[in-house]
This record gives sequence, structure tokens and C-alpha cells, in this order.
Amino acid sequence: MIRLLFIALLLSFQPVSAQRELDIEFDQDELKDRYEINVLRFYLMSLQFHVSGCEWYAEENSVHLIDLEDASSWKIQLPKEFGKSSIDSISFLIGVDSTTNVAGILDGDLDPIKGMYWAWNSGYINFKVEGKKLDSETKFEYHLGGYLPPFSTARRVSLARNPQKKRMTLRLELKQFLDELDMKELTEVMIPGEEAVLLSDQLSNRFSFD
Amino acid sequence: MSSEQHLQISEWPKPVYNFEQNPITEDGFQLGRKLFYDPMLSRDNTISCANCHLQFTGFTHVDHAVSHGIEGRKGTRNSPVLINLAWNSSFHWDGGVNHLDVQAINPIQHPAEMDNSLSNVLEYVNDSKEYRSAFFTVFGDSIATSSSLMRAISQFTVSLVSSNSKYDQYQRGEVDFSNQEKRGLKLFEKHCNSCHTAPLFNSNEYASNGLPIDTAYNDLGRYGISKVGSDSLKFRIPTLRNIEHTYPYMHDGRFKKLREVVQYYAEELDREAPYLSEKLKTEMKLSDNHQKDLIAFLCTLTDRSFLYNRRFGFPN
Ligand code: HEC
Ligand code: HEC
Repeated sequence: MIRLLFIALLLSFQPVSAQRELDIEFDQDELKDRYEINVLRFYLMSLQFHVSGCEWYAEENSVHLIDLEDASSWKIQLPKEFGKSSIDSISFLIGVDSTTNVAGILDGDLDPIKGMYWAWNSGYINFKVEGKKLDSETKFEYHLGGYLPPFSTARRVSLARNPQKKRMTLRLELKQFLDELDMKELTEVMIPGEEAVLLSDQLSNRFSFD
Repeated sequence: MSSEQHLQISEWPKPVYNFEQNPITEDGFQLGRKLFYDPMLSRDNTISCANCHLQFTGFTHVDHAVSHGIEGRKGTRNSPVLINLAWNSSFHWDGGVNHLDVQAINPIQHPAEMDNSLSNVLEYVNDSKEYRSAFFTVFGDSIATSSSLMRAISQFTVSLVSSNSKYDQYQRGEVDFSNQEKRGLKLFEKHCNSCHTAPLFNSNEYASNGLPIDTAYNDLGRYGISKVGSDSLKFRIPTLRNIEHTYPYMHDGRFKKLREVVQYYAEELDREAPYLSEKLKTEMKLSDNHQKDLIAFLCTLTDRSFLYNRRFGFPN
């Protein structure tokens, strides 16, 4: 009897911090003097984590819509298995893979109602940013997507970090991404094609992991 | 009865549509039918799917070169027929839609069609007692989602199967063709079947049949989707089933009569046209009589038991 009680106590004192989180952020402060951001929404899919000395671990049903308008979407709860184990690398897809793009109608984060779906050219928009460049008042809208070769745009990114650090943060350097664009020439991308490919390549270099 | 058996027709290829993801049931079919004929799906409650897809004309918009939506707004393309959709691997004239279950988002949102939003339509069906109980019966949840809404509509449209024309009856040995129809069939096999391939009389491919670009819309067809130069002026090869009744013809509805289409292929087609399919590069040499024979054959593709099937009509 006493032994049972002891076990029960042990179980209930499991530290809550065993659940790990991945924070996602972007350089809001750094860019705010230069850009006004009205829409920022993108998919992260097929997350995989590398635990020191172990195999890659793939999150199940791994689809996350990250949305400026939804603060809770910037935090991803990791599966219990991770406990305190030290994660030293992450790998993820920016955007939606081609299998999902041809799978028909889906719910949850992939519901077309989320405004990340092109109906006339069926397929997901992987990444959407809309706003204004403040000095020149230039408005921009970049909707990056398309899964058909040769213009497929989902990009896999793998990044390493220092496994000793407690918090885990995936950061999008949006200012760098926008600075790199020639907003005199290109203020809009709304369809799949060469431009979407080019911008998706550039975007894939603008994430860091810590 | 499994849904696959329901659409498996002997001698026909297997359907492309994945019935496992959306098993067809009688209740599901009836729910889809109700949605298809419901004008409340449009922003001003005036237009249902059936406005542009009328049963007696093979579910196309008869007499309209390009479709007309709410407030009489004009689209840029002729509404295609809705026939044997389970065998199509892509949809729309440019194949831009890759799955039947996502097609209906287009008319619902298109400003020149129903000019509404998915969330408005969901709000409407979720406010209706009748729909709530129907969605519960079919999907086990009285609250409709994008997914159940779209799949319900597909349950109806994917069931629009035409396989009982005079041609089919002739193939099954139930009726005989006239001599003229037999001659027409031979000509068809020689000149048309490589693209409009029996038994579906379509191909899941894109081709240019040499039509000069329509100057009103400058529609480049498949190129608009793929952005690959060689896809310019290519369109999906449409089915010719029930073709007698589905005028006007081509993506922009430029021909009013079947006679004009056949005359186009026989006499007007520019064999040097850019992007023209290899299959059409040689002269057909079809005399007036040949052309009449060909038309007589095309008319054997009419399936009255499809066009007048009460099951596909306005729900009671
Ligand atoms: C205003 C007219 C209009 C309305 C209303 C309309 N459609 Fe259409 N439909 C069209 C046109 C035009 C196309 C071809 C579009 C294209 O090729 O770009 C089409 C294409 C289709 C296709 C693809 C067929 C194929 O073989 O490619 C399907 C399926 C379809 N519509 C179903 C529906 C359903 C279901 C509704 C109601 C929710 C609907 N339509 C409402 C005009 C309309
Ligand atoms: C190279 C492939 C090819 C061949 C061969 C071909 N067609 Fe077509 N056909 C097409 C394509 C592609 C379209 C759609 C073109 C468009 O809308 O711009 C079409 C459209 C049509 C249409 C209009 C269908 C509709 O729903 O509007 C008819 C009728 C037709 N063809 C009849 C024929 C006949 C009869 C022959 C033989 C004499 C023939 N075709 C040979 C590719 C072909």
C-alpha cells in the first residue's frame, strides 16, 4: 500500500518542464524602421530533430501554419519523447510538399479557408508576406508557392545549434530577405513560376536556429 | 455496394478518382445534389452550379460562349461538360485544378461566378437545420467543414456517368449502326480517336488543335499554369460524349454548330499553326459526305438516359 502511494507521488511530481517547445520568431524590432508588415504567414512542414548521438526523429503529421495574427502559432510543442534530451539539429520544409498539394481537400492548418491556397492553379502558398517599404512607400505582396517541376518552391532546410542551450529558437531574418529584393523591379509575386523559385531559394537562407 | 463497383464499367479503364477518400453513399449523393442546385451558395443568392451546368446539355452552359455569373458578369471561358469526371486527372480547360474535391472552391470564390467565400457558404449550411442533419448523416458531424462540403459536392458530380449512348449499345451488341454511322466511326478512328480516345472520348493530356488565339481573352491555356513555353495554346482534350447537345464548342465557345467544328478540322485548320499537335499535321481530306458521316457518328455519343435521368435533375 505504502509502496503504491510512493509510486503515485513520484508520477505526480514529474517535472512539467519535460515538455519542450520550439519558439519561432522573426526580426520584428530590427525591421520596423524600414518595413511595415501587414501579413506574414507561412508553412513549416515535416519537422525532424536530431538528438545528440541518435537518429533523426520525425514529428508525426507535421504541418504548422505560422501566422502573424495568431501568437500561439509561433510556439510548437515537441513530443514528450524528447524530455530533456539535447537536440543539436533541426530539419524542416518551408512550405507544403508535393504529395500534400495533390491530396485533394484537407482540414486543419491545410484548410483552404486559411487563405494559403490557390484555387485556379490548385496548390498551397508556402509563404506569404505583404506590407510596405517605409522610405519609398512601396507596397509589396509576395506569395510564394507552386509544386510542379520545374517551378517547385518548397525548400528543405537543415540547421545545427548548440545542444547545451535550454530554449530552442528558430528565427526568420525577414529584414535581410526583404532587403535583398529589388523593390523597384519586383513588388508582386502571385503565381508559381521563375520568380517564386528565385525568392524561395533566397528565403531558404534566411532562417537560423539557436 | 462499394463505391468503386458503382463506377466500374466493364471494358473501361479504372477511375482516377480516389473513392477510398470519399466513399459514395446515397445520402452523400443526395446532399451533393442539393448543394449543386442551391442558389444560396452564391453571394446574392441568385446562382447555383446548375446555372452554368445544365443537365439537358451535358451539364454545360448552353448557348453561352463564355459563362455568365452573378449580376450577369461574364467569365472568360465556356463552361465545360460535367461528364465522367471520375476518369479525369485534372480539371478546367488548362488543367489548373488537380483534384475534383478542390474544384468547387473556384466557382464559389470567382468574382464572375458566385462571388462568395468558403466561410460564408459554410456559415450558411451550418445555420440550416436541414443541412446540419444531412451532414451528420453523411459525415458523422453536423458541422460542415471545407473538406466535408467539398466532398459532398463531389459525391454528386463524380456520379454523373454517361455510358449508355447508342455507341455503347452498339459496342455491347444491343443495337446496330446505320451504314453512315459505321463509316463515321471508321473516319473517327482514323482522325480523331488518338486524342478523343474511346471509350471516354477524351485524353488526360493537353494539345493544340490549331485554333488561332482568341483575341478577346488572349487565353494561352496550359501555359498559364505551367509557365512552360511549349505549353502555349494547349488545352485539355475534352470528352466528346453528348457532344450533339453541348454547344457552343471549344474553350471560348467559338463554334456554334458541330458542322462548323468538323469543317474546321477538315478544311480550315492551319497545318503550320504554332504549337499544333503532330497528330494533326497531315491533311485529313474529308469530303462533304465524309464530314456528314463523321457528324452522324458523333451523334451516336448522345446518351438520353443520362441527359434525362431524373436522379441528376433538380432535387424534389
Ligand atoms: C458562372 C458559371 C459557373 C458556375 C456558377 C459554376 N461553374 Fe463550374 N465551370 C464554369 C467554367 C467557365 C468552368 C471552366 C473553368 C476553366 O476552364 O477555367 C467550370 C468548370 C467546372 C468543373 C471542371 C470540369 C472539367 O472537366 O474540367 C467542374 C467539376 C465544375 N465546374 C463544377 C461546378 C460546381 C460544383 C459548381 C457549383 C459549386 C459550379 N461548377 C458553378 C462555370 C461555372
Ligand atoms: C491533337 C489532338 C486532337 C485531335 C486529333 C482532335 N482533336 Fe478535337 N479537340 C482537341 C482539343 C485540345 C480540343 C479543345 C481545344 C480548345 O478548346 O481550344 C478539342 C475540341 C474538340 C471539340 C469541342 C469540344 C467541346 O466540348 O467544346 C470537338 C467537337 C472536337 N474537338 C472534335 C474533334 C473531331 C471530330 C476530331 C477528328 C476529326 C478531332 N476533334 C481531333 C484535340 C484534338
